Amino acid sequence: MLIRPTRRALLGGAALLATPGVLRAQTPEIFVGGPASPGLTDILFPRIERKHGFKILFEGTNSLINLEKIRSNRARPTMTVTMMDDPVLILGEREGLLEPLRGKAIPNLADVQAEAKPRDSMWANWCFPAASISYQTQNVKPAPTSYAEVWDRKYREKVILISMRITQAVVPLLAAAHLATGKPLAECLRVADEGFSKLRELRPNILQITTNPPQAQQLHESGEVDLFLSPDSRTTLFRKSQRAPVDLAFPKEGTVAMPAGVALVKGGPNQALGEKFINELLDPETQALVAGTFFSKPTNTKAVAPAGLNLPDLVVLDWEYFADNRNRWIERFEREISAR
Amino acid sequence: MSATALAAPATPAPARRLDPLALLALPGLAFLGVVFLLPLLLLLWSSIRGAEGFSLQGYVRVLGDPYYVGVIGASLQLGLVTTLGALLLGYPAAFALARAKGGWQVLLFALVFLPLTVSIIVKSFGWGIVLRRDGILNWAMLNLGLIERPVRMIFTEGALYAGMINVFLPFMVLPIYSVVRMMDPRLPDAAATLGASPWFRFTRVTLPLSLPGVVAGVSLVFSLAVAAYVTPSLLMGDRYMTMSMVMAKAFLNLRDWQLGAAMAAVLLAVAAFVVVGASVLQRRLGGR
Amino acid sequence: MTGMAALQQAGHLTVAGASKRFGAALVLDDLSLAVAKGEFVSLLGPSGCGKTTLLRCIAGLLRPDAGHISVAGRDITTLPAHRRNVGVVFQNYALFPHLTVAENIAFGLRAQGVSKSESAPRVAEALALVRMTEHAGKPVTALSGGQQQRVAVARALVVRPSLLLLDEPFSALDRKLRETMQVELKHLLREVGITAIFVTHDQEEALVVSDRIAVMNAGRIEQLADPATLYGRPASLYVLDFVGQSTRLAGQVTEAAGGMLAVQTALGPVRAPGQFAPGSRVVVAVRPEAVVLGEAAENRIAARVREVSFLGSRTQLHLDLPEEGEDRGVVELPRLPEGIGPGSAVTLAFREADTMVFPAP
Repeated sequence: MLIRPTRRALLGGAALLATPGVLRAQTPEIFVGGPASPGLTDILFPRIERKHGFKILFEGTNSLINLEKIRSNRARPTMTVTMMDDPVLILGEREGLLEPLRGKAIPNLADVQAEAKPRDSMWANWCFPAASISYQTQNVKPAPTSYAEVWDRKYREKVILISMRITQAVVPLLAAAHLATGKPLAECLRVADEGFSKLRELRPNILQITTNPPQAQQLHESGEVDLFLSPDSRTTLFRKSQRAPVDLAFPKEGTVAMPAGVALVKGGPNQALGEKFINELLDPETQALVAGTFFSKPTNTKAVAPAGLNLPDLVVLDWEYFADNRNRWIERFEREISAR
Repeated sequence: MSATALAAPATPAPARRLDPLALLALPGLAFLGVVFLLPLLLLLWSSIRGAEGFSLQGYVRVLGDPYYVGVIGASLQLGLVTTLGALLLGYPAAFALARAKGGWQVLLFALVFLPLTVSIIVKSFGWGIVLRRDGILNWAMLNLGLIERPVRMIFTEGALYAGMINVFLPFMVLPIYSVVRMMDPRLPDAAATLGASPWFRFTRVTLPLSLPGVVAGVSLVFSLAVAAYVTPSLLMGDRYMTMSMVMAKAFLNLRDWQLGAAMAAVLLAVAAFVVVGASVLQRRLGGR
Repeated sequence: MTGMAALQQAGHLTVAGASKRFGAALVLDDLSLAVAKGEFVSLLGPSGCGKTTLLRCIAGLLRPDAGHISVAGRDITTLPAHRRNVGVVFQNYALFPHLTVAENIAFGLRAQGVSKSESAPRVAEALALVRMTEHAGKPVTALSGGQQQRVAVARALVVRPSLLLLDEPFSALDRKLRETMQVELKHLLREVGITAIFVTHDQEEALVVSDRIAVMNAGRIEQLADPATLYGRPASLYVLDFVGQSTRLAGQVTEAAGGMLAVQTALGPVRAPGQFAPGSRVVVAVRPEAVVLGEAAENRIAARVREVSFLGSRTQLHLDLPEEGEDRGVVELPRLPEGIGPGSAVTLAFREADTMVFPAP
């Protein structure tokens, strides 16, 4: 492909422009790429900077663009640490862009639950946001206790699904596969294709399939939409804390852990600082702060979740399988569920 | 140099010689060449490159798949409805704008063009407030007794069309306005004194004279609307896939460059057909 | 209403008590006018006097706030323009730029549903009438100003209007062409036998083309008369000034007896026919060509020449008058006598019968 080198060069140039500080650092600095979500640069990073005496240069973009940057700077990496979703990290691993995490340099890794260090600790999950059903608390009483309720005709044109192009869309797909096959939610990813016919039955209830979750969230909070599948707890519980009339349901079939990974870029500058950064993210105390800030479940078994945040045990998925099948599901979802 | 310039009108230069003024287009052409033509050629190139070299698989997938043919049809339908709606609303508006005086004209201009300055994201939230079940429109219709219970309007095709017309209306009004503004307002008067009824005056004088503006507006709005991405994705989401949404999906999610490039090439062909057709039509109209 | 009936009988076109207001401005002020069949009447006045408004009211492009308009005995006041059968030649002609010469001329016939077979010979006839046959297929944008005017006239005439209105029809033409076209158009319209109303601000043009001239001022007709009367017996100082030039002097009536007045001016006593009480402040005026140098007439005044203008067939002397204001002096002589130039002292003589007296403004 001819177009790719051009794009790489452009993105590489942009990355260089964005990181002049790295080249003439006085106090040690590392360049971290990650999602542009609130809580990182205003709460989490200042704490790490103060504690360890280095500076964090952060660039917030979505995971795929982040990956593109690492890929284009493969020869001379500028980024030390990358924070991305697991399905994208898998692509990075396959292209040999990541450095495995070593327990020696990152002692807290030992206390992290096994499911949160995929691929022999190629990366670590620094928290588990939870996703199930977000419900409008004024319209939906009591809270849904099963995914089957979403199919109830009383929710006609009252449900919004997230587009399959967005990772959280895996939740309704899993729920449909569970209802179709009766298998436990944790096993449903591998039979997800069997859930499509069940998902088709949901169509009369679907008001919209959104690629713009903030817009859907607004309609959800206004009462136009009763059920929203599935913004994760970072959105739903955060908005709940802001007194928006929404809450996260905990269906009996289970609640799904969304991916939030952190990895070392292979050959990135200041690897030692990068490891320090990751170790701090996985520290039990920091994990408690992370859990409270991001309304997520800690992954360090020694971390104590803040009071009031009672998330159940989460179903952790095989994101590699997801990554390998996502394109097919996007196509099927579009043609069978979205199409008019 | 000034002597040649002065002599030029008296002795028309042979057609083959380049007018020095044409050189003024060079910076613009160079700019377009770098930022538009080059990427365009690269795009066309990647539309015929599969995993194993040259392949027309991208076009086969786009034009041979009933789903994608449907998407193309939906985009064309969206473009047509938007264009027609914008024309019906924009044509009289352009006349009002051209004939209004002083403060009224300023006000009408503001009404037509201020919406352009509002971000589409903000607009989409605004539409949500207007269209939802407890929104302003339902409230008004309930209170007027037009409906008995709230009607679903949000994320419907009707709402999509209304929103698209709202977004693209200025692009219809402006070209028609600029033609109508130059039109002698006494021409319909002259026709009236010759015994022409209002309808005859409109169809034989006003309409033909404003047609160049209509052609420009129609081709502008149609090519914008058929390529629309943000507005349909905000107003309908995945339930109304357009060519641009398929392209975004192919490039951003599926990372399937050939599919995206082939769809882009089809869109480009549609738009080019409309624009070239319009300029041919315009030249023919202008020749009269 | 009896006045209206009388007017209707009097004229082919009658306007009775027409008023039109644009915001605060009264543009037509209770204006009445009667025009006989086949007559050419000019509406003459400065811009803003209401002449174009009156024309648009007659054409049906404006509706008067009050009053009535009728043509050939039919009240057309509320009739829309396209049902009036009143032809208009617009200023700058308003030809349809998207149509050819022949299509422009045929427009009215098509609009009125005249069949192709009937309209073709009529268009050909109209083209021939204005000598535009060879240009029939040209776009009107390719025509000269004079040709455009001929097309505009043919376009208006081909539908056989009961009345033709012409709004400053010569203003787009250069001076030389204008003079030719004035005579040509007058001749053409006379041949067709149509009733025509010209709107113009050019008094010379009005004098050339009209049977009668209505001098308009502030929405009213100041005087409606044939050109000779208008020139020779203007009804007011306004008309005197608007039509032709004059020598005029402010003065005071010292004696009035037997229809003759003695007026004392700054340049001496002048006698003239008129009805004013002694002591009245007046303006006496005489047309330039009624003045001779020397002592060959009853009234004589001494003046000094300020400037001499040679006009070809005649020579104008502009006089230095001692008083400013209402006074001005223009004398026209067939030829300039020897020794007269700027600064020369001259004696002006004019007949009592040629001397006009107006109340001072």
